[in-house]
Amino acid sequence: MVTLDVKGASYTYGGEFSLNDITFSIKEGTICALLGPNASGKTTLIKYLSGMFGYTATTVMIDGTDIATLTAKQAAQKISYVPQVHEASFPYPVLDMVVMGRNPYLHFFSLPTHKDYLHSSAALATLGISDIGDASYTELSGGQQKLVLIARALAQEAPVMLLDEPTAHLDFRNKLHILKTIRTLVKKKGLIALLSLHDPNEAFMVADEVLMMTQGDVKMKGPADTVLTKEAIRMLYGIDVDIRTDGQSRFIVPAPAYFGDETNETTDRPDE
Amino acid sequence: MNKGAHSSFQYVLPPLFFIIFLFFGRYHISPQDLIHATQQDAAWILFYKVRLPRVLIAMFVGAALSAAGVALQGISRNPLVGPEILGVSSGAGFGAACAILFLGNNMLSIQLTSFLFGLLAVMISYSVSKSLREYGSSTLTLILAGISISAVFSALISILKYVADPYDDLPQIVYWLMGSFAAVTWHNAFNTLPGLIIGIFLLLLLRWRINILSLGQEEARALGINYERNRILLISAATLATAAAVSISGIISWVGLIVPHITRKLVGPDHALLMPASLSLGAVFMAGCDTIARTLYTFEIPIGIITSLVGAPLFIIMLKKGGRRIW
Repeated sequence: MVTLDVKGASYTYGGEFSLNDITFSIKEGTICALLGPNASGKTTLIKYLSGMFGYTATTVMIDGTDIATLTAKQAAQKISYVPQVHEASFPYPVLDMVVMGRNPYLHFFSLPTHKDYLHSSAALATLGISDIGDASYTELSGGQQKLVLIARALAQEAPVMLLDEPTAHLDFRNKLHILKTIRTLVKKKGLIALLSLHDPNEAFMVADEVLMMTQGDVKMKGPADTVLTKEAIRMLYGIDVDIRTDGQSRFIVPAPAYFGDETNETTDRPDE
Repeated sequence: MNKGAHSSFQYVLPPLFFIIFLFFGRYHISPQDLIHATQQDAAWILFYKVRLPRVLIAMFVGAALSAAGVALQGISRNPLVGPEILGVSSGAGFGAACAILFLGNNMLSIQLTSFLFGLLAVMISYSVSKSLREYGSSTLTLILAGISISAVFSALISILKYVADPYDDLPQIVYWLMGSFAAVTWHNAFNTLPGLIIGIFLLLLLRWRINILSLGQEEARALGINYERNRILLISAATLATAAAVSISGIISWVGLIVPHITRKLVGPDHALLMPASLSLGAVFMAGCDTIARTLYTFEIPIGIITSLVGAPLFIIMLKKGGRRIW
């Protein structure tokens, strides 16, 4: 059983804690959603785990291996990362984009081999986008680009996949498709996926577990159904909501007073 | 996958044009002349001691500048970047002007000082960009630092031009700054070839990694690449190739900027294909321009003029042609 253990992860930027002593663990085959308002440290935590700031000893362990002791290449064999915004300046063909995920398995001076291209084609097939393998990445829609980046992470064959707001800037259909794709992948391959989300409703749809963050601290962690309560949402976002249940589905809606009552506006201004 | 379609062309073109260009020149030499010539004949001397090293070096310099352009455009993700962006050319120009004025004005001292000052300028640019780290993205600060250091060395060149003897030293500085292969001999060719070959070879070996570095620091790191270390390696290789090129030919701008673009139009953005194709095209383009420079008129035309006059229309035609987007 592969587990991701995060112990006492801290990161300071400009004298302030961006991440304050974060500790949690996730088991294989689990989707964990990171929820929290803007600037709560969600993206910082994802970047911390992806090694952007360098790893501090014993803070990130995968299956008992301290990631800090690994080289960048070895770490990339353990953790893959799907960025939120990808600034592409070259119109690389999709297959060339995906094959970059094979880098952790290549020697310093070598090019990807036929086998690496096969791996990449297989990753495209898994995501059902084999037909766009020759298209230019930059000319794809936002949803397709996201699928390509997930395919690249898949080609990396790492047990842990980090996704920074995978549903941001996508239309309704693509949003659902991406969430479904992540869910299918995680269950089929037994991955550990940690994804940050803006909409707590998406956590209900996709997440096994929820990690709630404010101001660089983890406030709560547990199964989506038990952790995502009215009180928790008020604590995270400062608004009153109702949680409705319809058969198996649960969804969060603003409390009736939210749109009706003028007085709410002063206290519940959204932060964006 | 159509990965090998361009490969045969790129290996055949440079040797083919190498032989063709050798038989062009103000002095007509036919293959028959060469067969019958003895080592004392003008044709033999001209062919083996003047034209052969000249065409060879023109090809290597064209290849080196193009490869450096590919690498620097790739890692900086900026289409306006050429091999001179980090100050290597103006640094080398200053070194050459110093050698002409103060160090006896011979080819060896010009080569050595221009090479060293080229490297020095890039080192300064790089250190300045490190110190600016907090003010912006690392690629942007690198380019800004490079532009600043280039400006400083250009000003220093102006000072040297201003104080130089206007009848003797000044024309030589100006001539060097315009670039030329007229001074190439086997002797100075051998001083430069190691730098050119090592630089080109390293860029070839590292070519696929440029794809990953072009995604930026964050993604490169997540894909298992030590971004900063790889970037330094690529900048060093590009700088070595460019400094070696400039030290023998003077400053030939434009080639290292447009050849990568034209090649990208032909083979696509994947650096694994782009790098060898650019080497090949850059070599043929530069040697072709040099052949025009030395044959078009009774006196030699500075090659920088030809590369721009031929390259600019060619570049625009290539960009206007339909087909793939290159940026």
